[in-house]
Amino acid sequence: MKKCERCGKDDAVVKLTRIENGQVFSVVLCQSCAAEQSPIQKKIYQKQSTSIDSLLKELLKGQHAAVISEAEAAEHFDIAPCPKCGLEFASYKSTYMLGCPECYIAFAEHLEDDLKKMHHATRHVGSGPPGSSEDLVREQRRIEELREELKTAVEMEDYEHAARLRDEIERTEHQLKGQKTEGKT
Amino acid sequence: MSDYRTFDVTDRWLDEDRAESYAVLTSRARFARNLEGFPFVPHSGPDVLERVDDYVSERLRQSDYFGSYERIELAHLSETDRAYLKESRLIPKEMERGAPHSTVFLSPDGMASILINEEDHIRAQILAPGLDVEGAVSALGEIDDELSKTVAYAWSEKFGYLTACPTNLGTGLRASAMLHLPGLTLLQEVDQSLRGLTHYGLTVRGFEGENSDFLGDFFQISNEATLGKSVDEIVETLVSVIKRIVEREEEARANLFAHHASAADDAVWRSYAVLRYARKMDTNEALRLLSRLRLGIERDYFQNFTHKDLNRLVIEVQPAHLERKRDEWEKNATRDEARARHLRSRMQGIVLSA
Repeated sequence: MKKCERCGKDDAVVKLTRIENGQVFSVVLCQSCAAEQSPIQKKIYQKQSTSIDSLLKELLKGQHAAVISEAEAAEHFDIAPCPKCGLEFASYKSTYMLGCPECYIAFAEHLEDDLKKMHHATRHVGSGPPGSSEDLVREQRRIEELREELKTAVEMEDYEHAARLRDEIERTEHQLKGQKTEGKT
Repeated sequence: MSDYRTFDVTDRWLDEDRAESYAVLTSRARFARNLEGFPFVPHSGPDVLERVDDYVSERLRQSDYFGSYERIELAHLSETDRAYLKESRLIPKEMERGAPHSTVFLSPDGMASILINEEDHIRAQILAPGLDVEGAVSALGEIDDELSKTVAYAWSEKFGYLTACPTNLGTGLRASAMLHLPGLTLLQEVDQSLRGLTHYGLTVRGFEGENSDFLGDFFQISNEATLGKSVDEIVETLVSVIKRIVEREEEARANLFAHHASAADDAVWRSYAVLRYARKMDTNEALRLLSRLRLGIERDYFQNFTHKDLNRLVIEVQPAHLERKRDEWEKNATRDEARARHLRSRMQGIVLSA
């Protein structure tokens, strides 16, 4: 019988297999060495958790790069701050925290690279809250379209059509007001 | 000890035995939401945080749906009680310090919590026993619907729900499951099994979430990306990957006893012996030993000690959980002594199979 690869004294009765980086490491051990190695395997395990840890850190580095080049930093200062809360883009870059919802509008194009790194995507997929701005925006666009149409109708002296359009605009505006207040209360 | 009634029902998720309870401790889902017209939390002073807390708290109190939730201001809790809520997985580690105006609303069944002024104005989360990410997400959806009726969310068509940190942008959804993988760990196959996660937009964290160690062979798997994928897509990917890892864990456990039986047995019984007789034990050691005991349950070595019982012990040996039970034990024992004592008494009650 093969001898234990660790102590070389007793017969090897347990085979431990470890796969690291695609390579297979096998070791045959005696009962007592295996008991020492296998039950807690403290050292090997700690080594392993560190490797997962460092792997994660490596992955996270790409997303939250804390160190940026001076040239990049200089570019960040050329970006106008958020008109609502005054947050500078460079400040966002140092913490990855935005100042207010409006920052997403102010920095929309500059955020794209980060979003790609974080999500591999730059646009939301899925629904929003009921009565969300998506609906509001759509309604607002509809009103603008109706106003354009109304202008043309007046120019064409089609007053009957113009009157109908005026009523529809009023109705839509009324609805929109209702939705907005509903969302706020 | 606080007299909040919710403290009596925390950890209720541990009472339920699910098909996957042998490898999945719990599932969790949370979303991040912010209010329209307020600056985000990291850029808000105490006055703004107070206004946000007052506003959201008032809306929740007036709502029929959230009326039965209990409001707890974290700054008013003792350190132990805050740690207890964290250990029960009802508040995240980041909220444990109890910053002013950080508030939590807990559901009467102890499964749902709504957090005010964490990193975002509102975060809501649902716990579920075992592997039930779908259940957690659907319960969370109900909360989201109700909340969106009471407050106006910051939202954009392009970016979805707007969050303080863009890593949560879009759905704002973070779904996760806490996996227990002693088999894969012993066989040194965890690394390999979890390596491909990032390809699926998933990530792995330790027992206490972000930047924590893989204590007791626990691995928390969650979605990393929140933008560009619908809620259903996120959940589907996460669940299918988790199921595959659970299968691998099952294979690993079988493999251990088929090919390394004496070493595996030795690990189980050595752990049992230490848990049964030790006089002092810290949390890390307890978790490490309990992890080995899982394999013994798998082998039917214990007549009256199930995966569910083990899952409960994992939570009970946490520091704040022990502290809250101190009254029942001798006052002058150190925490490590109290922990060993509790484990000894639990081990003593186990009837070993012949």
